[in-house]
Amino acid sequence: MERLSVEDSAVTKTMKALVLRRHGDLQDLEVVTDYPVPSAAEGHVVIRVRASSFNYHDVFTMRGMPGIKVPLPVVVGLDMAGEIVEVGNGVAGWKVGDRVLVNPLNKKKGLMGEMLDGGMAEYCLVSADQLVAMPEGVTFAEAAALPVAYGNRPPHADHPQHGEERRPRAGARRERRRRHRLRDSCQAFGRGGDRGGVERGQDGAPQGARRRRDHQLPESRFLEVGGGEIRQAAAPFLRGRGGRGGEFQRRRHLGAVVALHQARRQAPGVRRDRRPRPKEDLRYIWTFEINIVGLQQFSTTTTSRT
Amino acid sequence: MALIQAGKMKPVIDKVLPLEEARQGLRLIRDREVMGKVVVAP
Repeated sequence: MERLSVEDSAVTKTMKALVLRRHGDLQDLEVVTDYPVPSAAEGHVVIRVRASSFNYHDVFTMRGMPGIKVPLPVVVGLDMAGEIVEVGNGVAGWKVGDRVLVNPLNKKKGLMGEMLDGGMAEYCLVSADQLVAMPEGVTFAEAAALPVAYGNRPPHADHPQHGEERRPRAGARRERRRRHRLRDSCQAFGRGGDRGGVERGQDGAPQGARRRRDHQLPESRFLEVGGGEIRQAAAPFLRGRGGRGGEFQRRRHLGAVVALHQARRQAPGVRRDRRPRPKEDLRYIWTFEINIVGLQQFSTTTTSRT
Repeated sequence: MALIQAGKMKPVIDKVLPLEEARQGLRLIRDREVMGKVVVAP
């Protein structure tokens, strides 16, 4: 999927787009009018974007996330809906004029608006397997509001009706426990660093944390994504496992990249606040809201389910 | 989307902005000033 360059076409059309040129803050985002309009590559379509919605993920993209190398410049925006204006070779089942919602995850390259140009533009190049047909009566704005928000909803928020009494679905309790275990053990990680020193057991492992971790999750479920404070907090726990003195290892849990979190100090007597504080710690919300705390990964089947 | 079509679900859209004001839209999300989605219509 190559971007059309000036040499490729005698008449290169341009479009409006919200472009991120470098990671930073809002001033590094710019609305331009000379961004090249994409043309449909093999297996792809070009859509005329009718609506695109912002997610907190766009803030991550703007600021840059440890471990994610974004090809810049990039058009941000991962949720979008629009009409097909061009169909590439090898695309079956779609035609010009179809109203479509875009699954933001491109299986080969990653997320739209991050690894690929996204929806904050007049046109967008989309792989045909990311398209979801929009039913009559659903507006572009409604559709564009869906993918990330709906895909990341908590499992128990699975469209209940007003006044409806809901029984937990099978496995819901187990899932909830798993989430809590995960969260607790992560906080145990941070707590060692929080005190500035860690009580050691006989084997030199930090005791408080180890006590909790022993019957919870193995350490191998955690990933360090970089950053001084987190690294410091994590160092005692990663002793002898490649974490000391060198780069932390990439670790995964359930296929998701997992970061360590440094617990915040709490005044004595104040109940530990477990809500993510994205302003203080982007990594926390990134990890916990999107990848771990039981929030489902986005998938086409979720959105197109009837 | 079938749920929206059937009126059983309604996405909470706080604002719809033109692309020219998209940066403002992201600021609203960043600063947690909206209840619901910010949609940009290019």
